[in-house]
Amino acid sequence: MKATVWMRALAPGRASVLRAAVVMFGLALVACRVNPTSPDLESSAEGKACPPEAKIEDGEDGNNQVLVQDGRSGYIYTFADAEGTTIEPAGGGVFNMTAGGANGSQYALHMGGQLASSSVVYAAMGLNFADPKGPYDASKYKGISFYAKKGPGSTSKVRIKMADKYTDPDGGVCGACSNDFGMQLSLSEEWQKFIVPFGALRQESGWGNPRPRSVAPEAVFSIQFAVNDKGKAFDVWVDDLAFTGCP
Amino acid sequence: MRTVVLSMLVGGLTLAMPVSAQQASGGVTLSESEGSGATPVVQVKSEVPSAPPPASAAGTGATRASAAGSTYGRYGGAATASEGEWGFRYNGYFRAPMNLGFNERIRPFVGQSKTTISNLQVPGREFYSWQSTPNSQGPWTELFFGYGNGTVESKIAIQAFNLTDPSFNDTDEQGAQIGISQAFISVTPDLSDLVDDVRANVRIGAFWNQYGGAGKYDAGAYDAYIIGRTHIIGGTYRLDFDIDSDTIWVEHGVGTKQPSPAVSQNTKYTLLHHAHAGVNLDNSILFGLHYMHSWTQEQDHQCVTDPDADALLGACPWVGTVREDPNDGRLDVYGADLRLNMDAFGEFFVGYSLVWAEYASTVDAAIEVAHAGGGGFFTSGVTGVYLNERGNNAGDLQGNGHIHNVLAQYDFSLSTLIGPDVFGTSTLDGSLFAMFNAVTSEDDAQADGVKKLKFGADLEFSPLSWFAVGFRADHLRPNSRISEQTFSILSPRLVFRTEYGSHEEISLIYHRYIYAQRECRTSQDLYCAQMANGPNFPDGFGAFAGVTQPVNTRGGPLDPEAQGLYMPPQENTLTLQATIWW
Repeated sequence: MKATVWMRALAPGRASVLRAAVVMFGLALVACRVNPTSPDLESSAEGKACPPEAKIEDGEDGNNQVLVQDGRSGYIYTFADAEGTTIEPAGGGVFNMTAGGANGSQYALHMGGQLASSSVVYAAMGLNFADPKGPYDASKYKGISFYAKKGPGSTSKVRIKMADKYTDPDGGVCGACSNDFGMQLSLSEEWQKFIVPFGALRQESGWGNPRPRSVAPEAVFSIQFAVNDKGKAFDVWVDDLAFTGCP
Repeated sequence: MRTVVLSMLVGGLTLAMPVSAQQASGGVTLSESEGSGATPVVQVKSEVPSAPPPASAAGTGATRASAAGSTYGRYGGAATASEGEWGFRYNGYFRAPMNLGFNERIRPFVGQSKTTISNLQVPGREFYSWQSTPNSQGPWTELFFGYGNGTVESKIAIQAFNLTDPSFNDTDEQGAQIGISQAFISVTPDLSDLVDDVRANVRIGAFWNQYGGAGKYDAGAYDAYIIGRTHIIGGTYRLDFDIDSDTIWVEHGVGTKQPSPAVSQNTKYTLLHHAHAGVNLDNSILFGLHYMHSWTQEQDHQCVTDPDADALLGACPWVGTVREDPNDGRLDVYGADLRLNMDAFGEFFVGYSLVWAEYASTVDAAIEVAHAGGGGFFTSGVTGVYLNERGNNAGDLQGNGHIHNVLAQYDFSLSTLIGPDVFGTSTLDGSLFAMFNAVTSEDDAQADGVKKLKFGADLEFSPLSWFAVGFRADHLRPNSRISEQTFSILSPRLVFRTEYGSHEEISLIYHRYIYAQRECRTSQDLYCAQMANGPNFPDGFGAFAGVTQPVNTRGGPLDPEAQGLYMPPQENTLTLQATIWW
């Protein structure tokens, strides 16, 4: 290819076209971003509500197990790094529901604590779909909905992520595991409804193996709510988790 | 002068910040988590990705510094692994290549083989050269020693671009043992008690700031910064304003660069002022605007009065008995860069800069931009790399002109696009990359209007976690008017490592150089493959004794029967190298 070809491409007239193309492409990327709190999602194919068997957990039974229905029976847990992060309920113990759910309900899932300041810190609470831990086929759904809020003084940054057969070590596939598909959320101190289409979940860039294009809903292991805002306190509430977008 | 005052005022404000930082309570992160990494000659490095969050964490993943204006110093990790406590941290990187360059004697004497084997003698081995690519790198080693706590950290860097045991005790001739090259204090105050969603960092000392690297975690396929990397002692502060998952950031810094006192140096004490701003939209779109201004206003130095040497000494105030005051010089960079993270469709970077030079031969390498060290870093600044054609004595080497630069890179993964159902855990990753430069020179009519273009592709297939096979192809057109300078490089490689994402890598790389015109008629011939303005001595391509190096060292290999003064560049090279970062 001769340099003159490139020069012609960068000539004033062409440059305008190129600039417009770049801007349009950027705007298209912005437009593709999903706002998980948009009410419009409730009427979308991915976000429309499903029958009661799609509900994953609402905390109202007060135990540490997801609602046992539609093939789901996993347990709820917390975990954190070993760099000094504290978390309640403590990891390794029995997860207890906390009073004060969304929409006037009695209970919600709650975790609180303090993140350490090391280079890699994290704390999370998760719900396994199956017990013993195993893959769950959620391919008839297209997303997940839930209510969430933060307490005063808490970081607002929470990542919801879904471990599937390609990212969970128990999937037996991954060479570099745990880069689950997820979405960054920004919580307020008021309960908000979130709808997260499966198609909006993304892996973190730059690591993990394999790196599929999208989450594999036919074999998901868990949902987790994670924080990693170094040095920050966290006080995160979640309620009324359910799958959405059923046929 | 107004710039100086403004810089000092703003810089003064930043100096107040550490006080409040130390008074602030709560955990504050210690700067970056990026690893450090590769690069070639002349006190420079680029970086490689840091360790991903541990797989066993099943966790959230670390927040990783991104490019597009956010390449704000990446030096290993935090000084301490725990909050509040003072602690020590040690990071490093090295690249140790065994390089074999194969050539042929035109007419071997008795007792000499036809084939010769030597160090690399190819265009582009020099870091400060437009022809530079990572295909022909020498050793590079760097160590970062950190000490700090949750709020403040210090770092000291020790670097070298030669390993003396397998080569020579290279402490004097080219300064390969750089030694303690950087030292700085970085303060990351917790502002949450004052204002929500604002992060700040102040850094004072000797350190790099890096803008316009094409790679996500490094300088990209050409190991070059299209906006600039600073080489100064000074200060920088940065503010990040978080709005949900988006961030708006601003950054500002000042610094100075002391030039080498070598008599062949034009440059003077160089000042730097730079400002940047950008947005990061959910790590999907990152856009930055950049302004960097370096200049000199130092009084003149004594200089060599040999009339024959004056051509090299633009800063020399005397020509014979007539005083000629050289102008103060400046080298400015205006630029913008854009990074698009398109998830499964890969990542795209494009950066543009306008480098404006006015009597820039006196401006030292406070800004390294597009393969050039400042305005007149010996012959490897903008003046030598862009504004004057090598071998053309008509150029006045003052450093007047400007250059438009464009750098683009697209990184993708075919294994991600096609999916693990086909590839399993195998990976097939690739990159496309290109750089374009348009020169307007007032120094040299032969350089004025020259366009430079290089582009290439890289593909690496990892069928196993410990093994990969890769191929890189480069095509370089250094001069749009002289097609004889064009050349290409084909580079297949085998890569061995212990696991995916492992820190270490052992590579066996073959390079095939294909020249449009390999042999020159004379050492000043422009219509052939070109040596750099400052060839690697003592044995680089075109490193003549007494011309491009001290007269007390040998020159590069030559063939007495060759028509030109030097051996033609090699066509075949082989490299066995080990790299690791921690």
